[in-house]
Amino acid sequence: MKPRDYSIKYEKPEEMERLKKNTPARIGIGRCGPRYTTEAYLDYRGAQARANDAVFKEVPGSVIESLGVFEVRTLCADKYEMITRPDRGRLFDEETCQLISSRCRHDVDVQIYFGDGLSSPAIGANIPDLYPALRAALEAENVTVGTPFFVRYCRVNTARTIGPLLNAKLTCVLIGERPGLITDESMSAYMALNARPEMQESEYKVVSNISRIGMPPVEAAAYIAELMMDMMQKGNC
Amino acid sequence: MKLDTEFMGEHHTFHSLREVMAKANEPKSGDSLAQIAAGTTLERIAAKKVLSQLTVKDLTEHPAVPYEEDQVTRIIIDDLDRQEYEEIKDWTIAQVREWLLDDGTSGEEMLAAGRGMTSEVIAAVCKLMGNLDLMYAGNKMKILATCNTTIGEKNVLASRLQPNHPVDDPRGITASLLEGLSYGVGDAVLGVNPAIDTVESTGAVWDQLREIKNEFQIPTQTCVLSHVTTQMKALEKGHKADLCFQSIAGTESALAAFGVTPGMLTEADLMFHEDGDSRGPNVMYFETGQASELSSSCHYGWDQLTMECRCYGLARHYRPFLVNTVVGFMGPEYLYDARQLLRAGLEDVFCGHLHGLPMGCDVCYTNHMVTDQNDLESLAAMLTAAGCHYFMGLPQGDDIMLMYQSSGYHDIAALRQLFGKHPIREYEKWLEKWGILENGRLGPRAGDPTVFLK
Amino acid sequence: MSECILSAGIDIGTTTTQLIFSRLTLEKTGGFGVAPKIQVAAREVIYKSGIYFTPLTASGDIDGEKVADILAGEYRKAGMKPGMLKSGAVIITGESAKKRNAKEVIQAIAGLAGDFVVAAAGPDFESLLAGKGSGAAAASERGKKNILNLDIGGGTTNLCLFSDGKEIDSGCYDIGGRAVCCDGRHVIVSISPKVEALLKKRGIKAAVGDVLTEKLGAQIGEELAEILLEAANLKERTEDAALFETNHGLRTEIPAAEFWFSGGVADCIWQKKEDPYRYGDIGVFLGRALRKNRNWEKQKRVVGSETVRATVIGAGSCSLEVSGSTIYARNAKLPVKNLPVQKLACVTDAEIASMDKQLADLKMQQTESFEKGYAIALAGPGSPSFAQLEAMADALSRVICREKSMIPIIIENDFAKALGQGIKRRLPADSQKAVLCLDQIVCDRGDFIDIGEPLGGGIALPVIVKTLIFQEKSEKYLQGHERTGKEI
Repeated sequence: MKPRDYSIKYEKPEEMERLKKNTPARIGIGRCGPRYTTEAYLDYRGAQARANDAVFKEVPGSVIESLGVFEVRTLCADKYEMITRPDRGRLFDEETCQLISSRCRHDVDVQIYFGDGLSSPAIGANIPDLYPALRAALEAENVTVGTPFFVRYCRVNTARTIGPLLNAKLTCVLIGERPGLITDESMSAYMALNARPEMQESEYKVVSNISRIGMPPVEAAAYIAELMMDMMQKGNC
Repeated sequence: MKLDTEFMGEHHTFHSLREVMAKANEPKSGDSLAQIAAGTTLERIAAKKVLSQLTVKDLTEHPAVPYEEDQVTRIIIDDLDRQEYEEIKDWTIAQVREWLLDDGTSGEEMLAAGRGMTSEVIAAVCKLMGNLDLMYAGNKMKILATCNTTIGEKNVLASRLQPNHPVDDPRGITASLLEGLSYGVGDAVLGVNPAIDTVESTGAVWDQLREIKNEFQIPTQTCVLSHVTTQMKALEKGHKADLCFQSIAGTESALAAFGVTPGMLTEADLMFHEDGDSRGPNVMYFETGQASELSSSCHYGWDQLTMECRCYGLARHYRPFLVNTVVGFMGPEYLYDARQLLRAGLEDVFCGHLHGLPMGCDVCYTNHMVTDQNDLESLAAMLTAAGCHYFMGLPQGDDIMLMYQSSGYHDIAALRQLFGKHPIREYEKWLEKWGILENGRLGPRAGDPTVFLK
Repeated sequence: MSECILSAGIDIGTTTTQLIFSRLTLEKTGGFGVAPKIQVAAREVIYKSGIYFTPLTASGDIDGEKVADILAGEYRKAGMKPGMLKSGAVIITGESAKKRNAKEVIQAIAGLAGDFVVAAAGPDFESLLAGKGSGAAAASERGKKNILNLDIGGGTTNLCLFSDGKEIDSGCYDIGGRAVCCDGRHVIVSISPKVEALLKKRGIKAAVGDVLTEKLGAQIGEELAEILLEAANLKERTEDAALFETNHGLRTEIPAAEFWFSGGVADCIWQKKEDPYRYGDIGVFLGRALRKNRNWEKQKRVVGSETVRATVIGAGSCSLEVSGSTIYARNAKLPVKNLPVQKLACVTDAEIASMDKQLADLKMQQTESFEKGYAIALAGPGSPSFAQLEAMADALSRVICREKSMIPIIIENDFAKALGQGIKRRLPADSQKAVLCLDQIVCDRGDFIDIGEPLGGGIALPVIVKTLIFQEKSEKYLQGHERTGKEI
């Protein structure tokens, strides 16, 4: 008995190529009975595993070091707690608050910090281009930018603590997004003017889908800088 | 109402029906997040014990949100079949459970009794059922609904073709759609979640789906899952689709968070009856999912299963063609892992069926849950056994627009073959004509979308 | 939210003159966390003029004054005022001999053209517009296939090849319905010199004063259909075809899967019972020949959804594109028109480092196209690093400082705002220099570009790319195909 080739013999192979060009969806993948061929099956499991791992693995200390920032963590003990306890993923203990307060510049226009959120790879993939571009764009407009740092087990709502702690006019967290199978590196920017514990969710301005295959980090930086300028101008009058 | 019990040598006291209902719930991370879950496993079972002794009347007269305060409650109570209710109002929830599982009780009798039950009653019974109970009882009920075709016949497992694309590119949608047709998917509906919720874009995708449906004379329904108001405007502009979609929630305030009122749904239903593309009479399509009320802080301290049930109480008011729970979409804050996901899927489909709804399920998870494709496949198989009306079909189960994982085209085909299920009859004939299906199995042309291209 | 802009298309052909107005619906989309984006959601022709014979002066030139009268009348009928128009194109098409006074014609109608209505063309741009207006470009994009559009008018046949909706090659031939004209008694009154030469070579006797019999008409039609076979790469190209080239033929031999026809002659292809002398020219005979010719018969031929109006609809309705919606504009005076495009390679670090040199080399080669201002086009990396961005901004800010006029930067990938900000940072704080960067527009060496006033509250810009030379586009296509070939 010889092994069989289970890829599909398309009636119009060139048309199949065209269909595939039209979508990133997993089409034209063949079948053995009503199930996936081994190659398609393992490709999928691999992409899903990468996405799942992106959520649960840690941002390596070396990445934080290369960004030249200090690290703090929320009340969560690990990723699992962060995922089920949004209430703890937004808070810091007293010691951490003191550390942030002592190491950061206070009373700035814009406080930017980084959080792992739901994607660890997003930090290393985007921050090295996103942050310097954002900082340069803001400083060119004479905006004061605070001391950046990294928050492990970070939820967006850490901004409600960080903003008042450092008395920043505008607080911005650059945070990993929930990964999909196409990319596990996407990042969002959440910005709030006068961030505070009792603020509404709707007060956040958001720029999402920042990645080399979404909105390029440098372009996102330019767009975010403009949004920030706009928010601060509107907030002042 | 007696809210305490001596159980396993311990005394358990509860302070409200709400507390009993919440603590009787199987474990869900969302109930923990809401800080209403049972503290120990034994406390959970004790709550079930208390609940089992409460009557249908107790549950009916103490709805989750008062009648005066909430339009969803009013719809549920006003829609109640009083005659059926009178028959069972003094039964305990334990007795209702046993009667539902009795082989002497037919599916028709269950559905008739269901019309006399509020969503809270149905949620309560569900909390006393094991997973196999839910499957066994649920599978007895046969619920038909008719749009262009009829869903719910015996031994039919239908499917929604979900050919989403990140920017609604018509060529991208077509590519996934033709692939789906070639696996026999799409008999429930050809339904696209739009990336862009505008009237123009909805109209354009409607027109595209309609064109394909007409060109190949596919006996099915079309739908774009934009906001109901967007669809109404697209209809006014002369575009056409068969089904009107909306996501719904179990309280008036949670609905408002979706930008929806019950009146709006009534209006949409009327509009689609008059100007939609289908014969009907069932023209609505609803999606639900446990914990949307909690996520918008509109759950009134109630557990997510009770809130989910109230979605079904609202849904049955509009006699929909399709209802499905998008069970794993809300994330691990609400359903943490495979165990919780499986349980929620079985609960939702059973509760929907007892409400008389043609229930489907988007067996799915997000990539930040502690689940994988194996869990999803297990749930799909269990729900097929439970008589679930339809599943989603996506290219290898990957949604490239909504970024979550669901069931694949291949899964629909495999489940049908494994359980001896068929597509909706007209659709099956259409598939046989194209050589996609042969004697209930994938045929020689299955998996080749180019057969549809000239 | 959506906004509408009105656009005009005016086609002054050597045979006919026509005009259309269209309404372009621009839709602003964007969801939660997504930058808003402006797209052309619908292109709808709202007014079509009659088709007029183009008035000529005694010397055979186009009579600009009379053309202006015709157009003014049509504006009145449509209730349109020049100020209402935000986009569009005027083109003078057909035989080059009659286009000598194009500039004067444009001047004569300048008052009717709106702020953004532009006037510039050449056979290649006409070919492109006809192919867009006929529906061939859209069909090629839909079907992901190569389609050659042949727009056969009175004076010329304009060819444009589309692949996946993108133009990749074009050509133009002096073959049209008016190549041979006759009077009411079928007596030939004029015959184009090129046709005369061909017939002489073939030994077919036809001269002014002879009767155009049905047999002779069919013979001439067949000869011209054969030339078009050569033009369309369906037959080896001979010197006969070369004789008919207006400026050049197709430059590549990229095969087409379908052949689309537009222009007045396209209407004659499938009409079997039409009086062949109806238009007093060779048009119906040529149409018939394209139907019956045994080589043409083997091809998949499609008559465009627009025929005689394809070019004018292309000009009025299909020429406008919208840039990406994160752009940078500071002190920019818009609109700008007819800027030649200089293309710089800047994908790799080495290419980025050599941008200054690349531009200097281009200037050496072709000083004249730099004289009246220009735009710089670049593809750039898909997602440039901050260092790459800074290097590009270094080079481009030097150019902007050096040049007197505004130098728009047109980027294929999505980083215009970042680059614009980077350039701005490098200019002296008090600089009044204009900086304009826009993205998600593809243009190449040899193109000309018009940029209109901002849309949607300033987030995007309307752009018309006038493709006058297809060389770079063909090269790109061929390279792309070589690559896929290897992969397979």
